[in-house]
Amino acid sequence: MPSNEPKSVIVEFEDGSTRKVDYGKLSRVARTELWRLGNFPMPLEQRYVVLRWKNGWKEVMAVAGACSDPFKYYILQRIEEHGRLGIERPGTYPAVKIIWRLPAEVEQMTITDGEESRTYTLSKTEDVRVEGGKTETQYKLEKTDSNPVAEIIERLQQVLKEQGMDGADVLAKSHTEKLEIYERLRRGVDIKAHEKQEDVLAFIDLLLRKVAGARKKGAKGEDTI
Amino acid sequence: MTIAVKWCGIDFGQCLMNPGALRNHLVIGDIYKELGKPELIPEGIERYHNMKDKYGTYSTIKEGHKDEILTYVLEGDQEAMNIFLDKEQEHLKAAEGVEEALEYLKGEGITLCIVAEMKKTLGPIGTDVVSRFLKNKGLIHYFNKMVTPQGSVDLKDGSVDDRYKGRTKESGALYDLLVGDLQKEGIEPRDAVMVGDKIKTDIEPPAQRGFKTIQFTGYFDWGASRADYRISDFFQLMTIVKGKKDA
Repeated sequence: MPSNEPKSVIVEFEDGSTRKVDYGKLSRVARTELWRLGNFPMPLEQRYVVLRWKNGWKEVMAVAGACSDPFKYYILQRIEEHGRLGIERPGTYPAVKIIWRLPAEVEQMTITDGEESRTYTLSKTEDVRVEGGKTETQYKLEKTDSNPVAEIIERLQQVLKEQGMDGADVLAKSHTEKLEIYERLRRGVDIKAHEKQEDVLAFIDLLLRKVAGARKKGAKGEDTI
Repeated sequence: MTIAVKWCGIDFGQCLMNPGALRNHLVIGDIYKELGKPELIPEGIERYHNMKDKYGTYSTIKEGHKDEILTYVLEGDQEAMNIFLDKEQEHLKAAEGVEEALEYLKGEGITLCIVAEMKKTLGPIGTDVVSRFLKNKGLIHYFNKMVTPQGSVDLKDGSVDDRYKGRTKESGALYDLLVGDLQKEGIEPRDAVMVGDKIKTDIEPPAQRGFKTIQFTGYFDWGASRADYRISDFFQLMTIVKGKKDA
């Protein structure tokens, strides 16, 4: 164990203000990132497993210190389905997002920046065998006039009203207070993060700005999440 | 050739209920997404895998160690456990062709029962995993009874026949009592068919007592047996079984 464990991480902002967080509350990923940046202890584990393949390839993985001996090894075989959502990025390569949750049951998708929204409905077209022995189930994307983001905003306004809150007041609160309120609003609106919670909380922030009539980008000194 | 019967017993796990759709990344994933902590999904899945490797199968966990899903996998978070119970039901599916087959069998005048090797104590209808599933999927009205080693439940009025307590399918004691009860209703074992996947609980014991048997291989094929028929989906029941009318 390092003899000089870090206690906290201090982040300094452009205006000179600072925020301090407990180092001990950082995830292993965050600690690893700090270690990569330098002058932070390596996130050590007490035990490691070294795997060796038939061709001599070797890999190391950390396991919990309480682990003693391997007791079984097995290989699972199963057909896995996942959706691949391609999103155009004019002038460069498209973005591709992977959908693991019930990909065949996705029926609609909307792309929005809070101001403009474009919604597409999905309809299955055909199964195509492609290279590598894979099967791609193709879908047709058709633009529709429905706007689920408007429905979410409407619900957000209801939740704000039910909880006796005002969008502009919420936006003016401190970072910590906002995180707690945004989570309550998220639950009230009933939307979830696909993978990262910050995505859905930032989305709530975006919609609140719309609700509050505030300008799209955070003004100087405004405490955005 | 068809089987003419008055009564049909159907096994639950890996037979009427399709366990294949119950995937960890869906159940654990949905729990932590609802709780607003999606970053905990991989750890939760890893802990569930750890439990599976300790106990061997997810069925074993569900039957005897469900409390550890709360204490270990979900780290004592009761809200997460409540979501787990909902999600487990949401993602469980009925086997292919079940509803069509049940509608057909009912139309043939055949009495339908669930015969399940349930190990957890029964509560009111809708609180155990089997009747909750039947209710949620809108299938409960097809069945008269749920016969289990925890008691035989009348699915119409909720009353529990405790004589079945402790009598398992594997030992055959459950079928011994069932034979007597069916005979009181004028149904001989030869007029009854049991449908299930496991040879040692759904095929051998009832066949020894004169029941007709159908081995369901849709999710797991336990190998050759003395079953009268083998089916891989429930649609096939509609071509094999028909109602027996008294002469």
